[in-house]
Amino acid sequence: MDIQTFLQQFVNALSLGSLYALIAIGYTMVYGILRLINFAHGDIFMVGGYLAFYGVSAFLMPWWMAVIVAIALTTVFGVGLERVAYRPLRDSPRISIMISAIGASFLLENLAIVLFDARPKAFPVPEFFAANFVIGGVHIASVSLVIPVVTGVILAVLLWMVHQTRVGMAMRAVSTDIEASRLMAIDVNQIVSITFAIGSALAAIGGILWALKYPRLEPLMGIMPGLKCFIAAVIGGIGSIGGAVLGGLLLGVIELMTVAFLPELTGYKDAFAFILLIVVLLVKPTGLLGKNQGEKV
Amino acid sequence: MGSLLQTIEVNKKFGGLAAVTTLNMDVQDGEIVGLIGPNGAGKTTSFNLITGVYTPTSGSIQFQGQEIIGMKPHAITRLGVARTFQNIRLFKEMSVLDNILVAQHMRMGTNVLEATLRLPSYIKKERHIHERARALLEEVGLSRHEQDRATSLPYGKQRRLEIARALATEPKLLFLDEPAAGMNPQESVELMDFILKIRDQFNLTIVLIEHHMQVVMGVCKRMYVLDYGVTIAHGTPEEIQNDPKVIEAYLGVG
Amino acid sequence: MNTSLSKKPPMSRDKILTLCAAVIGLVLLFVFEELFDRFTMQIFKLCAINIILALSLNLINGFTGLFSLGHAGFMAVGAYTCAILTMSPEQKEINFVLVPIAPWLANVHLPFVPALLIGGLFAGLIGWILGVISLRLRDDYLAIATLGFSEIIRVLLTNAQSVTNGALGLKGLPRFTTMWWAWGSAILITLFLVLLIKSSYGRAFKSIRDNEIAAESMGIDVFGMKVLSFAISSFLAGIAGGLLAHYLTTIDPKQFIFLKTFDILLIVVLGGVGSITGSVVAAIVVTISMEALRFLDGPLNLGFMTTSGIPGLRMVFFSALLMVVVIYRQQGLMGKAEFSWDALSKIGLLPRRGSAAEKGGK
Repeated sequence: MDIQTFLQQFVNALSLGSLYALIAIGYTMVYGILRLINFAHGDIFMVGGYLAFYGVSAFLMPWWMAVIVAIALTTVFGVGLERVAYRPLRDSPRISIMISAIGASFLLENLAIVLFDARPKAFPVPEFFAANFVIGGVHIASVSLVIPVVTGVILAVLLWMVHQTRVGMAMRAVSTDIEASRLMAIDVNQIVSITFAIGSALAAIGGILWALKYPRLEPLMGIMPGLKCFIAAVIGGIGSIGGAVLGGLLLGVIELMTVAFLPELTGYKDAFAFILLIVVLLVKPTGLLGKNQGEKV
Repeated sequence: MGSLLQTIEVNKKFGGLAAVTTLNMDVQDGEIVGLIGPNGAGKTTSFNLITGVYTPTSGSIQFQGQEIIGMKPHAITRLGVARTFQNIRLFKEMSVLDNILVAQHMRMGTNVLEATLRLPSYIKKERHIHERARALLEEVGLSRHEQDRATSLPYGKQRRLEIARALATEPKLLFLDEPAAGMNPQESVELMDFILKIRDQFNLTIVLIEHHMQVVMGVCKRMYVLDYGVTIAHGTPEEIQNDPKVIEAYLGVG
Repeated sequence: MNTSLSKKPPMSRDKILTLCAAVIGLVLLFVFEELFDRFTMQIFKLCAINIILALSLNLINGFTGLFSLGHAGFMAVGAYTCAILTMSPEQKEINFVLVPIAPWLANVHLPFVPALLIGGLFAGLIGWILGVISLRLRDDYLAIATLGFSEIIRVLLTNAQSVTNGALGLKGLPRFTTMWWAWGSAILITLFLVLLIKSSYGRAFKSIRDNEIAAESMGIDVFGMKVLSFAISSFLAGIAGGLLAHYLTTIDPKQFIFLKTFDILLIVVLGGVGSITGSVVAAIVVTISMEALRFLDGPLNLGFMTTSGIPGLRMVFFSALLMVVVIYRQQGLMGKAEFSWDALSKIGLLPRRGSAAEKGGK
């Protein structure tokens, strides 16, 4: 192996890992607030991709406008989903709300098959993103540069928001103790909606970036990235934004580097995430950056 | 009469917080011992340490001379240690009778095939534990409620069911965590009689946590007082009542 | 309740009724075999297989209170084990075109029943091992870990080409799953589960579901019980997998993607998490209506217009139904209740027991 191949793989891994990180943040925020695995997160990601596609191909919008509209609509959609599918179950056993999330995911996938057609669609990639650079012998598609930048900016904004603003403070309060927050006159419903809005917007951005990177839309395209990013969030320590980013990057790097340097393991690529998940859960169940929470007896 | 339970220099830390510091308890066979102290003094934590729910940071706990630290709670129960919980923990979707039957599973000595195939040996054991369960329910006055859902019972009866359930495990040592919580004076007096009665009837040794001073002073021959995890006093009710350290802990003087 | 323990005459009304129902059931099986075409028979067989799957998932999710999403994996283990063991050496040679089959497997050839049992036991063993590894986790962590195991199993099946023929799958399996085997297994397993749940072990499982800490303190070896329940559940899923393999006659790893677990979860939730009766009824209803609603996917004549067929509409209906049930009727069809002849008389479908005697007394 030479340094050039290594750099090439590293750039690819960084870009994939950042994308995982972006989606993982959405999972981790929702889980932090509601202790809910939002199984439908991957499907919201898919909806974001499709909406951008229709914006460009059916409504003939310029790509930047299609992206903005898609993000906005997906955000509204995610907030609506929480209202309909999760809010009525907030005080139910955790298993019920998880089943509802699975149902929502199932429903979105099947609706997508009905509405968008099961056949894959080619996503129109604007020239700007398709451009290829060669730096020191390393080929870089511009989208591979855009992704880490977008993730970095979003991470910075979110960390600022969570730690410096009133809304962020309320979010942290709700995630620590939902009942106490209610008593402190925090509008819990509003905070949950804001969290879902942010999570869904991130899923939409992730979906669009994914489609720019792998320009092929399918109704079930959200399942695997969705699961992997949830795993990334768990590995990093669910509930922690920094952890989600760490987990996403780690997963991206491990996945691509293993395939690059141990090609005989390529067939097992989709199992890496799960194996990593199980190892982390058994060794450090709270994830790399997570805090310990036990049941009080 | 020998020592049934001994805790020697038991410590428990949660993170940096010392929940229990050098707990030295000695419980003799047949005694009723009280464990009192202000909220957050480490009383329930002490119960959890002895019953195996938590593992002590250091120290030794001996039941009938056997070291029990590191044993799982169910194994400690098998040795003859039973308990109730401060915040009642019944099997809520199960009937009153089933709640008692579960607690006898361990003593049945059956295996899954014998039980599922309803071999005659199993049916015999099952009949035996049903009889015993009904007798226990009779004892605590819950016979009428045999088929009711455990959580449909009023609060006081849920407490009694929890005690009956603990008795069903055939304990030698019984831990009661605030048995009089939420009871009025009349009920508390009944509870005292009840505690004395089961002690004699089942040959029990009892350790109880209680805020209700009338109950503690009424049934306990000896008691330990905890404050911030430290045993600040230990002795007979009279000694405790006149101990300046105890008065200070309760009234917050100083 | 527990008939063996209550003080009733040996041949009570309930026993007579149960016996009658069993005889009617057997006669119906005969009649069906004569009456219906092969396609309809296939649906009835699928009902039986789905009953087993739903019951086995309900044992772990509904009765022991562990949210496991790994069922597809255990089915796959049972299906592949059973299929490989029953295939004749010639059949194996035809199937394994890309990579030849491992020599130690090439000439193994067993009859259906031992193969089915070995498949189930192997799935149970894997379930036992994975249970020991993962059952320290709780709630959603357990759910995601078991889902992970099921996907790892699928990836392994895809890659272990010399054993499983990889992504190509196994084709041309003998059609061993007759009506008798399918329903015979379903009835036997239902009976087994009823007896298990009503035994001391069933009570222990339920106590873990209701309050784990209290169960442990009452002398229940919680971890051991969880592993036991998980292993039994995996064993049953493996049996169902074996039946499914010889029902479909073709299997490949993609069939056992974790979404398959969600299909079973749908049945369990609709029937009632923690009700055997609910799972049995829901398995039959869902399986039949899945077929009956197939028209939704085809061209639809709405009177004013004709659609050209919308594939997937059927599944939209079922996923929407799942959500509606979870949100508005969490207990599903049965809640935690079970079928009993007494319940039938309570809702007036049977005369009340001893009602005549009561009247006479007054």
